[in-house]
Amino acid sequence: MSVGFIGAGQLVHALVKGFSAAGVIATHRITASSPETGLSTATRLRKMGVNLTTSNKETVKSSDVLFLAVKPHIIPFVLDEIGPDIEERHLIVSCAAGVTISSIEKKLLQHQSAPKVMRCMTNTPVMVREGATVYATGMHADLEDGKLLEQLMSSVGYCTEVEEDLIDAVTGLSGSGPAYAFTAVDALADGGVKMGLPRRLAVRLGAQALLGAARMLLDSEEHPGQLKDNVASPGGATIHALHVMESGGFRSLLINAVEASCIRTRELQHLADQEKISAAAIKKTTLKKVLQQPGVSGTGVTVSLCVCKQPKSQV
Amino acid sequence: MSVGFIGAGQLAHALVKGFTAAGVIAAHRITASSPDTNLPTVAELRKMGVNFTISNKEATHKSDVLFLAVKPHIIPFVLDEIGPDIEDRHLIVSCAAGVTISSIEKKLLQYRADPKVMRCMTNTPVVVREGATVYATGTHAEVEDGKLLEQLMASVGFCTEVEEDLIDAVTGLSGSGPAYAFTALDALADGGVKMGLPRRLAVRLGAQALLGAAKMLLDSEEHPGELKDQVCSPGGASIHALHLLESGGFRSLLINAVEASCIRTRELQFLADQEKISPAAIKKTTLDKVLQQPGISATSVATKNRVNLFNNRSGVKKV
Repeated sequence: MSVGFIGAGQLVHALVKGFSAAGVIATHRITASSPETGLSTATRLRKMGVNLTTSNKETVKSSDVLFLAVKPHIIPFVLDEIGPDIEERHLIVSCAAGVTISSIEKKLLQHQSAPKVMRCMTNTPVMVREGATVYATGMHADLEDGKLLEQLMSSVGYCTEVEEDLIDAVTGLSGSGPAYAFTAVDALADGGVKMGLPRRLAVRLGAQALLGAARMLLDSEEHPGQLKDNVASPGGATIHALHVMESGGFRSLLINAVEASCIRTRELQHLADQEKISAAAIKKTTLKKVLQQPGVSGTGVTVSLCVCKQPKSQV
Repeated sequence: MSVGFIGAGQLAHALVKGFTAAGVIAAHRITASSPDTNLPTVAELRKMGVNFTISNKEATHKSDVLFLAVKPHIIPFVLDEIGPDIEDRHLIVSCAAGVTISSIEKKLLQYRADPKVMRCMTNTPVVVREGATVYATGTHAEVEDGKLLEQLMASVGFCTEVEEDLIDAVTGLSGSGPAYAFTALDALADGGVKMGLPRRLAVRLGAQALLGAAKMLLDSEEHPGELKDQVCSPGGASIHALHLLESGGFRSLLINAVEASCIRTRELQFLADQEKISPAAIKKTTLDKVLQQPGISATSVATKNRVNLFNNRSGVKKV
C-alpha cells in the first residue's frame, strides 16, 4: 500500500513522522507534493526518505491512500487538478478543516462515478504518536476503507469514527487543542520563573504536570472535577490557586476558544464550498508551476474571475 | 528494603499505586499508617496488599525509607510521636508542602544525633507513573540516599534534585499543576459539548489533545511558542481561538495560579515551623487514639496551650 500527501506542510510532516515511528508504512512508500519547494517541512520530509515532488498528479499516480493536507481554500483547486487522475483504487482522505465530504464528492463526480472519499480531523501530536483523530466516511467508501484509515490513524494516537456533522466541533477542541496547551505551558513556565525556577526546569515541570494529569484522566473512570478535588487538600496551596483561576473566568476562556475555533471552521467550510479558487488566493508563480506540468490542462484548472488560459478575457 | 508511609491519604495511595505498577517494590513490603481508618484511600491501600496500621510507630519500625505524607501542620505532631523510634537506618522523606528540612531536623535532633532527612515535592500523576518530583537532601543524608530516593521516584515519573529553596515554586507549578489541568479539561469538554459533541467523546478528545501536546513539548527542543505557531495556520481556526484566550488574559490567570499556590505554600511553612500542633488543629478522637497506643508518652506528644496530660506543674490544669 502506498500513501500520498497533497501538501508538504506541518500536518504532512507530523503524520509521516508518526507513521514511520509506528512502523505502519515505510517512508519510501510515501509521496508528498507541493509546488512550494522552500518549505522547511519539505526538507525534513526528504530527509526522512519520503518521495517529494512538485507535481500533485505524480503523487496521485504513486498512491492508493491519498491525503489532502492543504488549506481549505486550496482544496477545490487541487481537486480540479487531480480529478482526471483518480482511479478506482484511490481512497481520498481530506484533512482540511471545514471541507465537507459532499463538496469533495461533487467535484470528483465530474471525473469518476464512485469516488471514495473520507474526511478526518487530526492534530499535530500524531508526530509523537499521541494524536486525536476522528473521521467520517463518504457515500462510495466502504467499511473496509474506514477500517483501513482507522488502522493507520490508530497507529499514531486515538482514532474514532464520528458523524460528519461533529467534525467542526472536534476541530475546535482537539484540532486546535494543542495550541491552547502550548500557550498554557508557556504561561505556567512564566509563573514558575516568576517564583524562582530556572526556565528549562519550569517548562519541563509544567509539561510533565499536564501530561500526567491528562494520562490520569484518560486512565480513569472518574469525572475531571473529582480528580481536581483529589488534588485540592483543605486550606492547601492548590485550592488557593484554583480560586484565582476561577475568579478570572478561566473555564469560560477555554469554552470561548473551542467555540471560536469551531465557528471559524464553519466559516472556512463556506469558503471551501466555492467551486473555484479566487485568483486572490493563489500566487501567480504557484499557478504557473501547476499549469506548466504535463497533463494539466489550462481549462481543467480554472480560477474564478481570472487566469482562464483558453478564453480570451482576462481580469 | 521496606517503605513506610505516615499518612494513608491521596498522596500515599498514588505513590503506592505507582511504585507497585512500576514493580520497584512489592506491596507487602509497604506499611501505611493513619489514625483515621475511614478514609476511602485506606480501603484501597488494603486491597493492594499494603500493611495498614493505625500506629505511626509501627510504620516507623517496619520501614527503612519513611515518607511523611500528612498535611503540613500535622508534621510536628507526628515527629514528636515517632522521634524516639527513628534509627540509624531510617531515611525520612517529607512530602509536606512548605515544611523545611531544617524544621524537621531540628525536631529529630532531640532524639538522634544525625537524622537522615530529605524533602520532596511530587504530584498525584505518580499514580499512572507520570509524576513530576523534585527533592532536596538534608544535612545528614548522603548522596546515596538521594540516589535511592531518585530511583524510587524516577520509577513513577520525572524526578530531579533541586535546591531546597525552589521547592515552594515547584509546588505552585507541578504540585498543583494537575488541578489546573483537570479544571481546563472540564472546561474544554464543556466547550465541545456546547458545540455538539457527546460528553464522553469531548472529555476524551480534550485529554488526548493535552496529553499529545505535552508529550510533543517534552520530546522537542523547541520553544512552546514555536510549537504553538506551527499549529496556527494563517486565518485558521486555531489562531481565532487563541485570540480569545489572549483577550481574556488566559496566560495571566495561569501565572497567578502558580504564584498563589507558591505563596500559600510559604504560609504553610510558617504554620509548620511552629513546634507544637495547635489543639484546634486536631480532633480529640484522633489525639485519643494516638495517646492510647503503647509506647506513646503523653508528655512527648504535647500540644501547645492545652492537653498536656501530665504537665510539669503540680496539679492538673485545664484551660
